[in-house]
Amino acid sequence: MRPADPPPGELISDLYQAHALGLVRMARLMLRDQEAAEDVVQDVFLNLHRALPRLRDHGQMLPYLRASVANGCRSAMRRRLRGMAGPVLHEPAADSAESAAILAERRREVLDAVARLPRRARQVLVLRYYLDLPTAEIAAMLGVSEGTVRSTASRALAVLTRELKRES
Amino acid sequence: MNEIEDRLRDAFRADAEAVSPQSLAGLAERATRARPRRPHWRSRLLVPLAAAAAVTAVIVAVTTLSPFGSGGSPAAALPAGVPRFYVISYDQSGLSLVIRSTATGQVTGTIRLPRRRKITSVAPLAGDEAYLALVQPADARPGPNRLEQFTLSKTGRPSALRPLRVPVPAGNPEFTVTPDGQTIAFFGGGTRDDTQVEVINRRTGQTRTWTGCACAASASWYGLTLSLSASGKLLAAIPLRGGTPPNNWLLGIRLLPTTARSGSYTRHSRLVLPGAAWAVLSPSGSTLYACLARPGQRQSTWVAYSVATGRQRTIASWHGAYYGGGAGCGGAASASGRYELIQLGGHGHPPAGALDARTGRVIPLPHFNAGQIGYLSGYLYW
Repeated sequence: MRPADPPPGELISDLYQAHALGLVRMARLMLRDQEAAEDVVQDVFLNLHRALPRLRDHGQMLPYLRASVANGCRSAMRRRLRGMAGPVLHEPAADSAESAAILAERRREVLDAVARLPRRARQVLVLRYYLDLPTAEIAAMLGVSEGTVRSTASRALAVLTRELKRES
Repeated sequence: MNEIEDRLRDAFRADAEAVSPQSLAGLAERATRARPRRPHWRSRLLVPLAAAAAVTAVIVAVTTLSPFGSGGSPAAALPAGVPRFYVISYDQSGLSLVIRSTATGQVTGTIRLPRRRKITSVAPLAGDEAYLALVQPADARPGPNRLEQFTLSKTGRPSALRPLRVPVPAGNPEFTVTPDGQTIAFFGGGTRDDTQVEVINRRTGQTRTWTGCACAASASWYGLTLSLSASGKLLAAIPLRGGTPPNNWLLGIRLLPTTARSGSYTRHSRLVLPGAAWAVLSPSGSTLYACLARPGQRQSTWVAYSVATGRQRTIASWHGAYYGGGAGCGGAASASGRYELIQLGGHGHPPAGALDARTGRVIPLPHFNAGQIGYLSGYLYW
């Protein structure tokens, strides 16, 4: 730990205050399950306590946290595939009355269609169209090439377009 | 392609906004309420012993760290002076105890009690390798309470329990002991409305009793505030009465010089640190390390209070407490008084940490189980 760094507990607390909400939202979009999303984010911060001494650049914590959440979501999706049959239905947030009002039918169609995509395609779409991350950053986060990110996104959009046209 | 991209952005944004800071907070609070809540000690006086959910947890401190062969992460990750082991109830009924490594969470030993007996409290002795345990009948039939002693080996393996010849009040008392084992304080041996504090000096055989304290040694999650200075001359406990609900049990700490004559607890003790939820005396008796609860707020503040001057300084403060208003106060003190095992709770924090009272630094203890800490914090001793 560099002398200028705040104590680990304080740093992690600050990071949590600043980014937890955004990370839960990101995980929720990937998992379509808020409870699972919170679990993933919670695990990420718990692991951060152990990983902190190895992380040299504390100014670049957000990309690290996002990558950790993406990995956590991937693991959660794998567990879900092993443990559950069929697609996961959308679970409204705890304040479902408000959420139900917000989520119009057209949006729900889109989200349902995204949920049927392969997990990597889902992650790419969330990172690109929710976080607006550049291709290079998405590639680094998911550990794939930029070409893979571009082709995955392109195929996913094509599938979505086809499915949504069919539904409408 | 633009239309589908716009629809994606719109759908993602709307779905993400369903997760609000309020909804996250609400979930945390619901999780809090769903957790089992330790009955108040007064209530426990009224229920059958067999139904009492007594759980004991002990944190054992040693002054030096050495590898202890239980696997997991290296013990060197903890600074010298942080207790190496803690003890928890295996089945949440006090019928057996499990000793675990603080650094790794690995089990190093187990104490199983004979049938119809349970351990309801444990307190460390000097060196934190020997402990006293309060053993009670495990069913509703009356029977004597006893103090028994056990020790831990260097690797955390416990010895058999050995009875101690000390008269123990009936009912469900709490107790604490000085590091030398010579002064023992019992709490709650009287009637419901006239709780008594009893301090036994084993060296002189003298027993002093103060009544009418209306005190609570423990306040729900916050842990046992029954703390003796190393000399046994000063006792700290939480007063119960006064104030307005829901804060009437979080009034602060009462300090009692145990050299005072037997008699009225209220008369001989004094109230300090209003609002404190949990506290421990330093071995010298000069400092009270306390957690100030702020009901309804997610703020935990730890202070060092000078018994002599009445001055206090903040040593740590953080948000994100999980268990009830102002939670994060639950804890247990190391025998040295330097390290307090505290529950951190809340998203983004491990369940527990070791607070260095000297520096205010919190050392995360990620191996602690969140549920155990939440449930056991009222029973933790370190």
